[in-house]
Amino acid sequence: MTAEERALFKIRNLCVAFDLFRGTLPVLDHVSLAVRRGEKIGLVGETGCGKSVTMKVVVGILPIPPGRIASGEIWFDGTNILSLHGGRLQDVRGRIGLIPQDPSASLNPVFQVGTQLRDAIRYSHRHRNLSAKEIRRLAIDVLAEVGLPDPVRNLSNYPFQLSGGMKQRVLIAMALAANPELLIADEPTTALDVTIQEQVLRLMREAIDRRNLSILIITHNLGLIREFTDRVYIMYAGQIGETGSTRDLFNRPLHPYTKGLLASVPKLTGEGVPFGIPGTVPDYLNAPSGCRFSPRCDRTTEVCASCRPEMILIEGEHRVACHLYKEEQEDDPQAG
Amino acid sequence: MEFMSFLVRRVAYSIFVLIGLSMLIFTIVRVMPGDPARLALGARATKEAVQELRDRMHLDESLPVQYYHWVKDVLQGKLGISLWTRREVSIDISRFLPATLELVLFAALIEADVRILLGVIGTRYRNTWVDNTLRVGTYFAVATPAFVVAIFLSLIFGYMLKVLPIVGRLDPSVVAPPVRTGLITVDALISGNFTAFIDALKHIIMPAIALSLGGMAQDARITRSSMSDNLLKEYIAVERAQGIPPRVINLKYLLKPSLIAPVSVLGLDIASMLGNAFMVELVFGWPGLSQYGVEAALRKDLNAVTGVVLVIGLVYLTINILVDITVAYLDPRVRLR
Repeated sequence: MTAEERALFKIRNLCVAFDLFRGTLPVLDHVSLAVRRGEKIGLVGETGCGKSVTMKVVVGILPIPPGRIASGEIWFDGTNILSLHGGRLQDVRGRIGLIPQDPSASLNPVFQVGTQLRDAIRYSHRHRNLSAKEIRRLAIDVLAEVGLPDPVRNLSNYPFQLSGGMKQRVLIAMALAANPELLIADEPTTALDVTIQEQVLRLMREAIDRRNLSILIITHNLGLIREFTDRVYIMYAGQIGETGSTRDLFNRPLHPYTKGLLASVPKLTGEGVPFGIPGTVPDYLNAPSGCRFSPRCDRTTEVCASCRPEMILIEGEHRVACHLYKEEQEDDPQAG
Repeated sequence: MEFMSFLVRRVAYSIFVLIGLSMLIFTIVRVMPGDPARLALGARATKEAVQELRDRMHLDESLPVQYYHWVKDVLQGKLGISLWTRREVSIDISRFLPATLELVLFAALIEADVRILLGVIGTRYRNTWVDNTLRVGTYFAVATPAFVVAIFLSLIFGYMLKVLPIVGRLDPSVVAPPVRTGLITVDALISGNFTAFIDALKHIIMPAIALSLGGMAQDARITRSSMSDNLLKEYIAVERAQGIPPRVINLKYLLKPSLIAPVSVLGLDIASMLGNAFMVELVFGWPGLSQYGVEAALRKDLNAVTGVVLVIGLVYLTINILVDITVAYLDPRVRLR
């Protein structure tokens, strides 16, 4: 049984396009990824590579139109989310919690923290018909769980009265309040001060361990990935370039993009200034039909721009989508 | 607690505005060419009579002293005699003000409800033909002066269809309810006189629509764009992801922040209605304060003009306080700071 089959959550060949006035942008190109129970997964890529689009599709907040799910499946615990509607969709969505990127923009400014938290609880537990008292109890408990000081008083505070770190705690509480099985964290610490980042990460790690949750962290912060995750997916311009255990990926990066990404992190030893990768993420309107990294890649061959590389199994869970490793694929009976 | 302190601050602030307003009105009247006493008494009055009135009005004293006496009189409700009606200005105002207040109140009620409805519809069907039709309709409604709307309405519903009365506040055949507030609809309800209530409603509906149409159309667009902007806010997406149903999001989490801007504009609209009502009052023979004020201005009736401006200013201040309270209710950032 492969990793994909045992997964709690998996995305298969997801293609998402944006229909804009200037043309159709095929942003996500056959994205596949999987999260097993209890796993901490990272989705890494630079700004504009489609990480947030992936997140939006999964939690159901992709604006459609202009967005359009062209093809693919999103499976959660044996159900294809994309085939569900109405109440059943909401039930599955309740099992996926979102920790958003910018805590200051993610709480409704004109409602008390408690109002939104209670509604999040009421509707995600709507089959239990909780009384107002029980909902309030749950709200206080979950605020205490995320370490928010004085939960009772904070229920009636407005978001602008809280600090950024407190707001992020409230948002994590809102995600946990639904008793999710999978958390999706979109750059959960980017908008926070460095000192607060560490606290929020510890808080997330504790909640995940205590509740035995899975998490998909979307970020461009390689330090966070290395510290936090078990497995990683590297995304470039809407394509998954490489995946594997965090250790394998950091020790033995294969895809030229992964190599460039790792090389651009400044070293503490101070040896040499990182170069980064020349160029920028391509305009999706004119994206190459093959490997989208090929225009920036220093090892491009003729086949790269025209032919989309398939995922090739290298070893264990380490896979790479790159024409450079084609020979190894032929030795691998499982691939294809 | 915080709300009380907000309220106290807000009212204290209004008192300063009121003092400024009174100085402005006082000064305007004093710097107008011509002798107020002579104007008040007419060309045929004797010099002695004019001098006597000048003494009574303290016109030979210094400006601060004059202001002091004027304020003292105003505070006692003494606005002087109207040159035109020959009655106490305060009595005239108390007779004409309720009619205008009632008209503006109904116009505001219509405007406040319909614009939210149109705004929500425009957001729900944004960038479809429904939204575009509303948008074009807005241009026409804003560009058409209220009195033109008034004339068209009375032509269609009054003369051609004959379903609504075209003049006055109440049909002469209907027994008027005893005056309590001066607002006929309210008085009719208080005394349980439903015939009068229905008849008063029929009389007020056309002028109220004519008066509110322009502002309503404009506000509907503001509501629509405010809602559409907020629809793209991160917090709305997060609320969706939290499993809060779309109905709750739209009518609670989206509507409340989206009403802040339109409510502020509604305050300005009501204020401008008070002043601009005279054309509509003229078309529908509505015995209101605007018409009285314009008439007084045309006849250089200084006492009456002063009184009308002062009262409209007061109403304007009150409405602004109400608007600010509503905005503070909607937006905690305003009231808690």
